[in-house]
Amino acid sequence: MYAPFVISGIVWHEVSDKIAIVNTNALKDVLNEHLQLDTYGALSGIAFIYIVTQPDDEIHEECFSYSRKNKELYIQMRLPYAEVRSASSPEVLHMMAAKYLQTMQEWLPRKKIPNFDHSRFVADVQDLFEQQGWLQVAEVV
Amino acid sequence: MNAVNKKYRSVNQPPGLKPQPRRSFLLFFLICVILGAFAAWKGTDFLEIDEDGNIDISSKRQKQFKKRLKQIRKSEQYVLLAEMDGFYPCYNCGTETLIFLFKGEIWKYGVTIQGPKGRYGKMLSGMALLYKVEFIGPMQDCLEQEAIKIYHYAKLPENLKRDHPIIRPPGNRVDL
Repeated sequence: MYAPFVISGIVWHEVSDKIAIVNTNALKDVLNEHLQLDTYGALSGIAFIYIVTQPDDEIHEECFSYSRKNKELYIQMRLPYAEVRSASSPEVLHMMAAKYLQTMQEWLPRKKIPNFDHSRFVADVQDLFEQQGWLQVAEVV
Repeated sequence: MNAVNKKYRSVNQPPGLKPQPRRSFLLFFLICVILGAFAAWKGTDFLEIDEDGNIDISSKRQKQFKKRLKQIRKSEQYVLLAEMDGFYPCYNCGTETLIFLFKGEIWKYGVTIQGPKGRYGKMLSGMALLYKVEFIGPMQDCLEQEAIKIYHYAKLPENLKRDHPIIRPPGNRVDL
């Protein structure tokens, strides 16, 4: 990975401007500037890819995979297409932040990554997003 | 005398002490038959015989076939865009191997029937690229869209502003 925290998207062209590149870069920059991933343990990179495609899309699937060899997480999670389409760009950023946090809260304890302090990581992500004001009006999607 | 003794020795031995080569041979033969049948079945598990004795494609293969048809009928044409200003690999820049792209500029057009996790997962996380789906439809139509975009890339403003415009997007090695 080119950075410890990578944020990107698989997006239908009609909503691509709401996800990328401003919002993906905002999320990526804040995470990379404020959190140091290697202080939480043996994880060198987390890539989070937002899928925002039409509801009947069967090509792209959600996943949460850990590479033991590279010590990296590769995550693909879906945001609801209709809600993204009707929301403004700042609202979409809030949805993205909420989805990021929710995914980490749900999946990290289950994944049991060796030597990684997931509780502290999730708490710090939550604090960081709250400081940014990204969790205030975001709906859990 | 000794020869005669040898000849009739087995006959005179008590029945409980007789060696049983035939039984172990039968067991060995049975195992071979089972393994052979299993191997034969595994080798032709793509075929099935119905109650009337007709040979047909197995249900597993039928399922795969339907899935494949569905994928071909619903493929997608995508574009990979630079997510940040920087150098990206270029396959059409002559002796240069890298090209500078500004964020939002095109790196590659493509067509797929499977998601980027299989083919592009590492690319999306390793090269700062955004995967934008531009068209969904039958494979033939997607290939047509891809061809139109690859050939017309040369005249896009982002390419014309370069000192040396390139023939196709930096990430497309060939036209199709």
